[in-house]
Amino acid sequence: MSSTLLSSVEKAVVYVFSSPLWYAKVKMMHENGATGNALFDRYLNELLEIQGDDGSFPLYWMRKFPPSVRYTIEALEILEPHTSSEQVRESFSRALNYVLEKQGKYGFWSEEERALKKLRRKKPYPGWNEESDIVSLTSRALKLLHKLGLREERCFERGLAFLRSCFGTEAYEEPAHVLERYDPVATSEALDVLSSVYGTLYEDEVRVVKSFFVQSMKTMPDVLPLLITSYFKLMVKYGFASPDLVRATIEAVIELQKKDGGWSYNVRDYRSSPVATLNVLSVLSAMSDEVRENVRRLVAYQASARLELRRLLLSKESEVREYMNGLLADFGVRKGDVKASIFLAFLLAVFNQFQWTSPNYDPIEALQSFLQAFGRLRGDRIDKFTDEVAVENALTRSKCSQFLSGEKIEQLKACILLFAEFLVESSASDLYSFFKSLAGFVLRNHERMPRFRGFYANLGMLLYYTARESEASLNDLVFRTLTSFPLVGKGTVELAMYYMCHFLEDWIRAPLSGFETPVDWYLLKPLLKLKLVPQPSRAIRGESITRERVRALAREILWERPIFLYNLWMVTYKWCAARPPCIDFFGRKCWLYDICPSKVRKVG
Amino acid sequence: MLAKLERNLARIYSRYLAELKLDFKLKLLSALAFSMVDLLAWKGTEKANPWRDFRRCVGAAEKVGKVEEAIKELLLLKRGESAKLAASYFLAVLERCNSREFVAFSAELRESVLSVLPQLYGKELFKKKSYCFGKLYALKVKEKSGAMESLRLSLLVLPAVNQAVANQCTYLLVRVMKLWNDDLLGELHVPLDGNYVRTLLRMGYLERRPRFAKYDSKQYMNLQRLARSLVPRCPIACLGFRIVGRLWCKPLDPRCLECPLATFCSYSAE
Repeated sequence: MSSTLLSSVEKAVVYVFSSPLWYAKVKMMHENGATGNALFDRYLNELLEIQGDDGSFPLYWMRKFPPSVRYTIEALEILEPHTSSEQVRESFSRALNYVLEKQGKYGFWSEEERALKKLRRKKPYPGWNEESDIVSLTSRALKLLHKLGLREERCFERGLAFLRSCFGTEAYEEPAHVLERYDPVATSEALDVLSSVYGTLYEDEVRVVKSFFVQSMKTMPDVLPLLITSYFKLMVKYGFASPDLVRATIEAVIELQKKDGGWSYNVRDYRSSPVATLNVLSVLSAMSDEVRENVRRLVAYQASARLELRRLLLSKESEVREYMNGLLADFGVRKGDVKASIFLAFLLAVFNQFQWTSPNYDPIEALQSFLQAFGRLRGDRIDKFTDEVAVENALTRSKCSQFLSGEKIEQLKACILLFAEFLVESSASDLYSFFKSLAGFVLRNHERMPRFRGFYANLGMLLYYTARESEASLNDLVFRTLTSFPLVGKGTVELAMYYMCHFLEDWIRAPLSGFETPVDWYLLKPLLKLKLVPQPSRAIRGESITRERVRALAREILWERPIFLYNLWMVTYKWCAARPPCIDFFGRKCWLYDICPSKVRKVG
Repeated sequence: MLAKLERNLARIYSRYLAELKLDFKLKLLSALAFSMVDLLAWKGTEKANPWRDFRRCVGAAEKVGKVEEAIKELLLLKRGESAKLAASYFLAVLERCNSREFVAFSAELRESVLSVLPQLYGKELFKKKSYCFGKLYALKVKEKSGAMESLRLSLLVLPAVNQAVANQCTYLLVRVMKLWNDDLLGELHVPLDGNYVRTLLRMGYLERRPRFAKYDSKQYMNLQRLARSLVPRCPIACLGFRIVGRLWCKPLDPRCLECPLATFCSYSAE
């Protein structure tokens, strides 16, 4: 039971940390004391940046989202321990003024209309309604004011009076039924703040919480995680949850965990929610000291692993550059030969996509065996690749022919012929004009391009780009031109751009932050070993959630140039796929040896 | 029966359109504007007769030679800013078309659309129409059928023009205004709207209601194929279903006793 619970907790922490919703991540770091590190400081700065002129913070702390009272209160909770800094103090007081100003006539706090409009569209939890949001928000505001020691203030008294009035004339007998459509979250939050203010819960309240929880478990089994997160913390806090109930709840929680490690408030939801997961984790932490310690340790590891990985990637940059230069030399490409470098980058990306065919498939070896027939790869000799017979013969003799079907070989041939044909006629001086001329080439030769879903829309957009001068949409132009070629998907384009960024450092003037990180097993494998992303439940194709997570991680770790997170492919290529892994015969260690929790200590 | 109903419809339309003495370009513009206004009449959202408004407005402007402005104002009033923009863009495109012969005109219009509109459109608007632009670009205009498809797509790339407006416009140009030969009738597509689909559904030609008949979508092509199988030589005659849907086969109170298609309809038998 204990080991199952701990592994479940570990999966959940990885899930929250890898989610693109940074609000949940920061809250988790704050709750578990992982605040004194560079990662948290970066988030704190980001938080200060998104503060509005009126002192408010936006909904979900997302830029361009409407200001929200709830999320301003959440931000205040995060900022409060860091007010020693002048900047944070100033931001804190502005946010606090904003919250105090938002108190209504009758003492309650309600959400901003624009934020409510957005919340109504996608309710934060099942059963959420605006009426209960007022109670819940007032409770949160009062809790904050109580924490800040503003108990004597008039606003606090008014808020408290409103909250108590919500329970009606029957005092605390049945607080759950006060609201027209009762809401367990609002009720529990109200009880929580009242218990904090008065130091305890009255007997009647205890009885209500107990009976309501048991009753709700029976009547609303679908929202069990919601009930657990809203009530159980309170029950554990005041010690009226029996050991049997605690055990049963833990079992239920483990059973309800989804494959990715997260929980959702409603068991019928197929997607997990980072906020729900965060709340379940905090309940589990409240239940047992062992879990709390583990969560703290895991959160600290997640933060430190990210920082270590960043440090490592930055320190290994020169080594990667050297390796890439070596790769160019292996293929006989001179440094500064733009056409040959682009062609090599494109071919490497195209050949790389067949790694799923077999664990023995090596894209670099396959490409080398293909290029052997053509001698050194030079810009002025690319016309050799426009000879259909020569390309076909080279492909049949190359190593990739063992792994690919005849149809794929045909597509590969068409792809190489078309791209080589374009390179022969192109004379572009920079990246933008190169891809613009490629767009013109695709338009002229559209009949030879494969018809895929969205082909005509792609063609239409290429028409637009050729008619307009705008470097702003370079990324889109790159995607639309290259994906028009046979066998080239989004992943291949991203990889081709990654190689181009390495091979043509001086030529690419575009900001590197604009290019997306290529995601494949070469990158995913070390990240999984480091436990920085949850295990993908299905193949990483298209715009899957795993891709999104890895990209969020790339932006988090290497925000200046996230594309270079893919430098980790060398770890898989050199170490993880090799036998023996981690330490080779010469005693050289894997890059990640010091931080990898799954390392093999045995020397080969 | 369908052919008879469609003939009646064409007669009504020609009463409003054929009397206008306009030049070739203005006829094209009028057809586009009339089809936009016409769809409001079939939707039943307009209480007054929008066709009469159109004739009154264009007829009055004809005398002072300001038909373009009148049409733009009318579209602004009836269909909003994007419809007015469509008229302006269409005129800009027509500037480069000099031929009157159908295939040559269609080819010129295609070239003109592809060269002029990408310069005028913003990215978001272009993105919405990118499929039609791509399709138009990939199209070869050498024969009658290719030319008709090209004309349709050239209309579809305009803002506020959907399949119903584009098909209605081509119908008006060929059948009502008779700008080109009658042998083009076989190439026309039926404009799909709620009345048409409801009637087909009740008569048992469709198993379920199509959700969204976007141009060139599977459902759109199925419905056109159905029209072609019902009236192989002149599928546009299926426009008669629209009249049936508007006058008798109403959504809430179908008047099956008065309906001319009642004898062939299983819904009325039930």
